[in-house]
Amino acid sequence: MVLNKALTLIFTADREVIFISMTSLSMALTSTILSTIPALILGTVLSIKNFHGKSIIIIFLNSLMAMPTVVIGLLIYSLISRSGPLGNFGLLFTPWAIIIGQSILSFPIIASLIYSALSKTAVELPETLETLGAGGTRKLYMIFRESKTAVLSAILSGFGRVIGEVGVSMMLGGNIRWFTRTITTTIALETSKGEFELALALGIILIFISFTVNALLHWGVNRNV
Amino acid sequence: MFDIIIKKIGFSYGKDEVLSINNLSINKGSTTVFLGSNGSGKTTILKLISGIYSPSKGSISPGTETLKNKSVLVHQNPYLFSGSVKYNIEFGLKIRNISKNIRKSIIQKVLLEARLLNLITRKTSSLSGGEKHRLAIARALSLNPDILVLDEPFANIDPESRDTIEKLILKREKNGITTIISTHNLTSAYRLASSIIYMDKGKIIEPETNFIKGSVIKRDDYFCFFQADNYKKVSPILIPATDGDYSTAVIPYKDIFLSGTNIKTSAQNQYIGIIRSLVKKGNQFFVTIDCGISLKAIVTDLSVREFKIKEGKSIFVNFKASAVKLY
Amino acid sequence: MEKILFILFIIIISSFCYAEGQIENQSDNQTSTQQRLRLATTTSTENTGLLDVLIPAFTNRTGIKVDVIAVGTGKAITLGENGDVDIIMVHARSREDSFVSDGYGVNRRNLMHNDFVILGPPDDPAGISSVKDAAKAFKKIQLTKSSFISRGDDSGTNTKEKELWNTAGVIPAGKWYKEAGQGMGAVITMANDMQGYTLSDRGTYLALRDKIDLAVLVEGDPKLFNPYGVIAVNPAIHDGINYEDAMRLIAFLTSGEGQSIIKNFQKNGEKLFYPDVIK
Repeated sequence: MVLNKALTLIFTADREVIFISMTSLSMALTSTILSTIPALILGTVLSIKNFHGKSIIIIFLNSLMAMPTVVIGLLIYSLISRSGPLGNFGLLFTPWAIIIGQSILSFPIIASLIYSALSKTAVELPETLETLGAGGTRKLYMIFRESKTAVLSAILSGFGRVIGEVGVSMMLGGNIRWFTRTITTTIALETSKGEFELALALGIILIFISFTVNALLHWGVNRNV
Repeated sequence: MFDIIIKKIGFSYGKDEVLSINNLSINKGSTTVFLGSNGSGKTTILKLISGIYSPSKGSISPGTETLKNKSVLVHQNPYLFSGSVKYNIEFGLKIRNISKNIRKSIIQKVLLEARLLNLITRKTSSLSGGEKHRLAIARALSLNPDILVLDEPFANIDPESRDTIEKLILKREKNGITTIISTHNLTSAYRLASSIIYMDKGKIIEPETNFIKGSVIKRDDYFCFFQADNYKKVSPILIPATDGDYSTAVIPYKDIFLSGTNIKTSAQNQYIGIIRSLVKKGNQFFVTIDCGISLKAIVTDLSVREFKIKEGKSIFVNFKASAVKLY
Repeated sequence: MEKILFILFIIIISSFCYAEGQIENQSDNQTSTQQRLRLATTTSTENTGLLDVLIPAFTNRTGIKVDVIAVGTGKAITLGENGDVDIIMVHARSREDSFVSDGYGVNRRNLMHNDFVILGPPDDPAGISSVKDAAKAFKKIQLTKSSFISRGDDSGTNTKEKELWNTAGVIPAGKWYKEAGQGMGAVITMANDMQGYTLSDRGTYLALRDKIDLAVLVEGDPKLFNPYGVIAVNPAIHDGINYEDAMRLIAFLTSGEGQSIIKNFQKNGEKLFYPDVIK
């Protein structure tokens, strides 16, 4: 049964399964962290200021989110392929190519969720901060502190999108064994081989990893509240 | 410390002009109350005074930046930071790098006055409505601002909290610090204000009552004798006997009638004065009379013609004791 | 502040994971400073498991680490054209020839061959089990409008399938002809579910044999011959092509050692490939 297979894989600490899990996790975490800072900045700017082109940016973000991961993979492939403009960096088929692609996947999600969350905060918050004398960075920090849960949700949504994606990983990583093979590309591979049980078992492991990360983050953020 | 002077100020949300005030001065150390219904522009003027808004046109002196530094605004629905009461009170003090020991004593004092000392470690999310308001005001007071701006501090709170807040405001007035309040509650307004500004639809409007600060100097079986501040030469206003401490007397314009001679009527209050101005409004006239205190009355244009009322003329001002309400 | 501690915590976890991954990687590779050799091949080739034996043998002998990128035939060739890989190993002869004649590849060598088989339900509604000619079998399937599942993805298998329809003089169309657009394993599973016919390479069939009811109904026709070629990507078309190592790999694959690994390779007790250089 599928569950048996999954548990066996986990408990026998199958070396390859551990490797692909670590690969998936580290790439997803790295790309989420990389995209969080610019996303926080963009989301905050969008919620605070009104400027020409604001709606275009928002529409662009929403469209990016709806794009299939394969398409994003294709776009980046055309940039970093040897025959593309950035080919000399030798990024294709390395973990960094996947990280770049995944950062682009998670960025619009985090940015637009932050924008949405901050837009909802009561106008009294920034005004209270101003009147009490909080300026610049402290004001920004407090706004995030007060929307802690929403900010966390945004980041976790970004993480969720990338840990489970296969289009970018496959296209930019090449599914190279012991190098750029992740849980999701392995699932795709095993499925195409007809090995559905193994694929499902890996899927369960993926869910478990995702759940753990979510739980850890929630615990970490809500400890002192 | 300074006066706040407003000239031809306007504020707009996009194309909507929501506030337009020609001329307004607020004296330092005064307690000014903006009185009016919802949407009359009270919140807007308060935000302009506390430097949160910049005027769309006109000027406010001193400038918006200075006002922001010197004042603290407490919103109608105050925002309390998630965390404890202590965290909220400390917040502004930490920003100003106040040392831990001084912080401690300020916090003690302010929370004691706001009756929140026993709740110092409580989370703000578990406070009642009144406690939240008191905390917001205490947070503002801990910073000892030159200008304290309170937007509807009495709306929707329990009587004890209202009482505590009133005491806090009165205490500051004694210390000569400027307080600005907005409310639609007449009683609190009259009680606390040293001057009242009436607002409607974003503009300052002429009130329809005389507002006199003073105190009760004597009582007998029939009357209270109310002496206006700064107008020692005038004999006190007679008001039906009542107990209590009062600082304000309110007399509606329409309850004042004028006479050319000092006729005896059942009105207990009669003063002689000089007409200072006449302002026509529709088929009525607003007449300002200086009889030692400044009083305004409303008369019909018929009466103006009949009595030949004009500037500089001396006239008698009459009103019943029962026309006067004390706060 | 608690925030900072918490962020550190996250960074530590992710670097740990990443480092773990890299260490696994490096420990397999003594010459970690060397450039990697990139080989593009087809998914069906990779799925047979042959490369899991061949490549480590090559690395052992030469110390060269190989990245195997398994994709569809079309994509493998495109990767070669774009210079994203250094060497390709595919089984689509006509396309390989164009690859070389267009200047993208050099030094093509025949490597090995295996065969395709026509799979179908044991009760064989189209009655092809007695037919020796693969094209004729296809014609019968079309005439009886029996369910046929095609790869539909321009892979080597798909290319062969189209050649057979062509030879049979048939343009397959209609509800009975289903183009799946998926890998061989998935397509076999679909054919099994639907009890239909399909063309498969022997290797994938053998891997799934125990899980399905389909049987080999037609085999051995020379038209079902499936030759594999290995081609180095022309270093003149792009910078950074690892031509030297590609040539070393070709040398290995066509050497006695490489060819005998191919010859001796078995899957589920059956021989899968026939070496072409050293018989």
